[in-house]
Amino acid sequence: MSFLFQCAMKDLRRRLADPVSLVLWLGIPLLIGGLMSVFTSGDGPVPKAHVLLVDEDQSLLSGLLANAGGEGRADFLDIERVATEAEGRARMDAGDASAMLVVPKGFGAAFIDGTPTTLRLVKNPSERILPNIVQTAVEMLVEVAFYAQRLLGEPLRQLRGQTADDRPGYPDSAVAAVATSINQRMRQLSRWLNPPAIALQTVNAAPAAPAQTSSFALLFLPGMVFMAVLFISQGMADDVWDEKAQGTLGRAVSLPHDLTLFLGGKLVATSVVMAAVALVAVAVAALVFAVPIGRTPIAFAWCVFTGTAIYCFFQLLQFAGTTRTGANMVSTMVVFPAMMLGGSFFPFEVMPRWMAGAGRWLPNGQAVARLKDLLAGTADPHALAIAALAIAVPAAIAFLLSARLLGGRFAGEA
Amino acid sequence: MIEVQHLRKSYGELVAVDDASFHAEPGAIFGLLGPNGAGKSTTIGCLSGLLKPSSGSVRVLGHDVVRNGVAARRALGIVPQELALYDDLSALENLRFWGAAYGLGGADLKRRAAEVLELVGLADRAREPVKRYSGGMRRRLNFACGVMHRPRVLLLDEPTVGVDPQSRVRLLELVREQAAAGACVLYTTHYMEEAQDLCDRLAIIDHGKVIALGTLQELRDMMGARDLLRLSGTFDPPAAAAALEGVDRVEIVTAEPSLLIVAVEGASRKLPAIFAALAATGAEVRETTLSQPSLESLFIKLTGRELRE
Repeated sequence: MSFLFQCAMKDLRRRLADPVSLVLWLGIPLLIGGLMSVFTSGDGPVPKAHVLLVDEDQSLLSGLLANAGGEGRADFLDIERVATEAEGRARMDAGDASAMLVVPKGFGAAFIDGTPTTLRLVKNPSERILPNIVQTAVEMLVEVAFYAQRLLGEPLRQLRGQTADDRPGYPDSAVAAVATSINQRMRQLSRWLNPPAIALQTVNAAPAAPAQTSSFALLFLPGMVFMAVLFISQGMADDVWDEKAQGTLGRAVSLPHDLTLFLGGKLVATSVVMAAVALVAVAVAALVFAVPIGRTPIAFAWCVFTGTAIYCFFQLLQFAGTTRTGANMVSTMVVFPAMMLGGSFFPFEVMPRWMAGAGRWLPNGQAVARLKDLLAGTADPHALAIAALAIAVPAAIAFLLSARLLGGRFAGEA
Repeated sequence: MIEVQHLRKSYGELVAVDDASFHAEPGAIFGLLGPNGAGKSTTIGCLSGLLKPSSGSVRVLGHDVVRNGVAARRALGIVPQELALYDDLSALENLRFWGAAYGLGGADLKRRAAEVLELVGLADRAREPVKRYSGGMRRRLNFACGVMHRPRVLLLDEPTVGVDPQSRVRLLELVREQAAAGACVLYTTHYMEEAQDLCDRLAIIDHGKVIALGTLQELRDMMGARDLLRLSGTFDPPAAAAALEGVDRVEIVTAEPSLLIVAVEGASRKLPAIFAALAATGAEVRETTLSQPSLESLFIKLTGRELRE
């Protein structure tokens, strides 16, 4: 036991001699997680597409078109009239707008007559998403205009034919005839329009209560913690290559102790580093996300236990390569998919179901899922015990295999 | 003591140590002398438990290193050829770790660490990280880690390679002190002078085989009182060999078109006769070197090569 303790102390002293690595292991996940949380949270302003409208027609209809997206009628569109197309292009070049819609001269007349006409949409190539939103909106508008033309085109054409040159406006009889015609058409449509055959109901999910632990940011915290765990595991496991390169592994082989204890010292040192990470994690959970203090001890223990177990898997991976570069490649090929699937980059809740299902089978995915339960106070002791066993048994096997490989060819080549 | 019997270590087709046998006594320094790649480090590896012998037996203080490895290794102190230190830790932390690994503890560990630091002249820089040390300082600390626990058997694998002259002298003194204190010291080197100055008994090893074994005097006697004459130039090897057969008590060691090495008693007196015999064959001698009997000349006599080749 004394040798195990000495080995652990030695490895901890070596880690403390390189505090930058420790800070990076913890800092990178916090940074990534923080950014992910900010980028994907619903608290920011809704982006709006700024559209410039060049109305060359100056008709009643083109005016209606301009108003369709203006004055807050569409949450995602902000329409501004400009005098000429050249002015619009200059504004777009300056980055002032996502798109420019040109309504050509004669658009209103063509609409009433049902003859072909073209609305021109110029998209700003320096933007990717907003111009496409504008394009979709305009396409929908054209669809609506087509059906409106089919419905109201004929009465409007009749009205236009009643224009008298010597008097302003239209004769009362003509207006009455058009009104009657429109009324009849609307009555025919009323069985679909009133009530509408299709009703769209928009429901905004109620925001979660602040005291609930399922807040969006807290969803990220367990993933961030285990991202740090994975980085630490990879870094601590790589230490056997340092021992080999420094010649200390060769000297350790000549000691009157089993190398399992030597590796055990690294396991203990890793668990201490994991404890430091877990302490930060539960402190953040309690202080920032108002997780009740009573839930934190077991969450802390869970992080240390699973973190140390995950290290064992990475330790075994180090022996998969015959060189340090090879081993690190293997390890890196595992760590990033494990983070991605295991809920470290994105919470399981926002993943496709198949991906979340697969991720939960991974040791780190299982650890993340259970940590969420622990912090939310919804952990089932039975499920937790099974998860612990499912992680601990293969981890113990991985550790014993690692010890065997360390004392064999790996050390023999030191 | 160390007993090596018919030790063989092979890696597939490559035989690194081939049927090596020797023994080393307490209170004395036993040297393994040979060129690079001769099998010295492999032998040390088998003794320390780092490598498993393919066959043969290795015993340390009567304990077989394979069957009773822990007991055998408890008596061992190792000073490997490559440095074996934690760069991030200080000299004191390194010593305390390796000392504790052999069971030292408490006040004894502290006292012994201070003693060893004083011994290797690092007491004033004991708390500095090793990565700030010079090469010579690291070598001395490497040695210190090996003797920290007062081992009864000390294995030193070319400890002076790459060491500055002052550190080298100090290291050799330290090795003598260990032997004088009763340790059984096994010292490998490819420096002939070091072996001659330091070792009580020697094994000369080449291509994994022990080719000569004994005290320095016994090995010198193998050469007889003959000097080694080395001639560089242009020779007809068969003609030169035939011509030299006529000169009294001359033995051809190497005969090549550009090199001729002969062992000869009273070489300085026989040089005119040798030159005359060679001249008769049309040989052209450009350079002549005469060596007194030594380990180097013995190695050349036994292998036909120089130790450094």
